[in-house]
Amino acid sequence: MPNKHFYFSIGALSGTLISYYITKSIKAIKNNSLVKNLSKLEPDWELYFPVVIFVTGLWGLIPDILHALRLLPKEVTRSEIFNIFFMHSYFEHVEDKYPAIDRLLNWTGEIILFSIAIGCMCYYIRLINNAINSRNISE
Amino acid sequence: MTPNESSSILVGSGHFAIGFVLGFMIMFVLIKARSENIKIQLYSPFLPIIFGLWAALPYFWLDSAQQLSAWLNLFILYPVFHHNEMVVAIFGKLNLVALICGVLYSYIIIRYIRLVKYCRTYGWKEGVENA
Repeated sequence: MPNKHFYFSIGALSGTLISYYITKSIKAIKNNSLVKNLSKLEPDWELYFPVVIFVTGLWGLIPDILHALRLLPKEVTRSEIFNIFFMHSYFEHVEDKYPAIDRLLNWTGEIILFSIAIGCMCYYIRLINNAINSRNISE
Repeated sequence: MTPNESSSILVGSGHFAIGFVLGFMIMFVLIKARSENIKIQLYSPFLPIIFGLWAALPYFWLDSAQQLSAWLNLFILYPVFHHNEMVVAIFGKLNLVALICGVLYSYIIIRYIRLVKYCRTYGWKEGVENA
């Protein structure tokens, strides 16, 4: 079966795409009441996108968490309904037929996680540089 | 890099974690020692990842049964850690490696968030101790 980090990476990738979409739509959604309330609570709420990425990553791990906590057996977490956790059951059955694809999925998961980690750091560096430049201009 | 819960050798993720921890310690010292330098604040967090990748590099081309040459010590003591029981006990478990790297990476992200907030409020004065 693909390793756990593969499922986490699929969730993290989804979280990244959601965060990216929100960043791009930020002007359009500024008047949304939820966004207004969020801005009152925390003006720099867009800095916390890694939390969204982490939470969506955890969504992909839920079947493994349920199994690790001995709440559900493996046979149940491999049933079709668990495909709502980023096609968990489908990928679990991949190992039975295609070991090479299993290894490819693990490598893909590692590359995705690595790229997201670097991408988040670059995102913050860009924000910091923009903040410094705008402060320098106003002074 | 595959998980191996009970093995006598360290897999790639374990070597990566060792490099990551070492790089993190160097990053931490640099950040504290050179707090007036914005470039150090911005780019030294890449050190854990660079050190981690460097430490894990031999894992990509070496066979597990292969004898490890002394020159591989350039990769953060790869042969030394590869069979060390204490190191394997800690860094041989993928869950623990994920936890350690995750916690250290969280520190980096929290640090960046604080730096963004600080620079948005005060800007950055080069050569003077800031945040």
